[in-house]
Amino acid sequence: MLAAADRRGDFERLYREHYPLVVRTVYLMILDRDIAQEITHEAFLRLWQHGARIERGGNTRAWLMKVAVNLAIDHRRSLLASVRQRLAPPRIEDPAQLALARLDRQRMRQALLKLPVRDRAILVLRFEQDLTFPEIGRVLGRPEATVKTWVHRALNRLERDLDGPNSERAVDEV
Amino acid sequence: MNREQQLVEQLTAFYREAAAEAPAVPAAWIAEQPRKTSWLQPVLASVALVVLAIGLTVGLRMARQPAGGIVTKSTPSTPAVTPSPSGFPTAPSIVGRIMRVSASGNAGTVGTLEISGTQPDGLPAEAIVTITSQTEIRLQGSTASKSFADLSTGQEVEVWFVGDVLQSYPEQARAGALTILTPRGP
Repeated sequence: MLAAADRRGDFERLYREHYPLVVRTVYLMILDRDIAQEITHEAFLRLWQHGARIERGGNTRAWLMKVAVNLAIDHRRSLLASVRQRLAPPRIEDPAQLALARLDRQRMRQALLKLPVRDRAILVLRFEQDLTFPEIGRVLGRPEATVKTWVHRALNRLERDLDGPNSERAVDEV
Repeated sequence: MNREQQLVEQLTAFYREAAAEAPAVPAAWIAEQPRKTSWLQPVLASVALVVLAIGLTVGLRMARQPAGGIVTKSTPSTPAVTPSPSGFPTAPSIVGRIMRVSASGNAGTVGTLEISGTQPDGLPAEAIVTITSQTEIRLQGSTASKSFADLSTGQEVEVWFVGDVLQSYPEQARAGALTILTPRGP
């Protein structure tokens, strides 16, 4: 009984410690709060279920990131989420500078949403989490060279989408 | 600064701002808590509504337009809650006067009656009723069976239909049971 209580206490500590990082990473990939929370919960649920095995292995944070990122990559966006993302009007405030900044952000958001989820994952891990290529490779289960190629390709796609005609039109519409 | 560096700067700036939108405070951990599928519920509800609507539409069409384009309605062929007589609904399908009696030589069909009267809803109705060998014919207040030969023009009768009713005018149906209200016509 005591062991079970200890396990629960340890888990809750891990949960509080790692939740913000995991949910932020997933959110930046998916750009949907509800789905990011769902996926994060699923990742922690798996940690809870496989906890004993992971504790013996060591790095819980790396394990969680790996599970959460792969769950997010596998996640097929629901019709509702995609419609919501497409229809979500950009919120513009009065000051001109703020508005311009928001337009840029909206353009970036739209461009990112056009990328495959795997590309989004790579960009988040590289440029938000600041992980090295080998570290990203461990999360995604791919060699370092592959990760480098993927990062380069994802940036090219993002650039193309940002400069693309749809993106310009979106800005005009705003 | 080359284009890629600019792009990375834009991207990291976006991540910095967007990260603030991410949920930061975890909800209390409940291990048994089912996975939140807030998006799934409206999707399932929509699918269920579409299926229901399709089912209703198809059901209504089938009820109104059976094969051959002849419009029919169904009458109970199974015993009703309050049987009268012998397993038919309390209210007869038509109550009226026999206007014409025609014997038939067809197998299974004893003859036909042309009846003019009213439907259970009180509206005037006319019907050509086929009497078969299975039709239960009785005199009101008696349990003794009567036959097609006991039917004559001018008698008041109650008829319970079985099977489909052809929505022609007069409507045409098969009689499951018939009660003679007046033994002799005027």
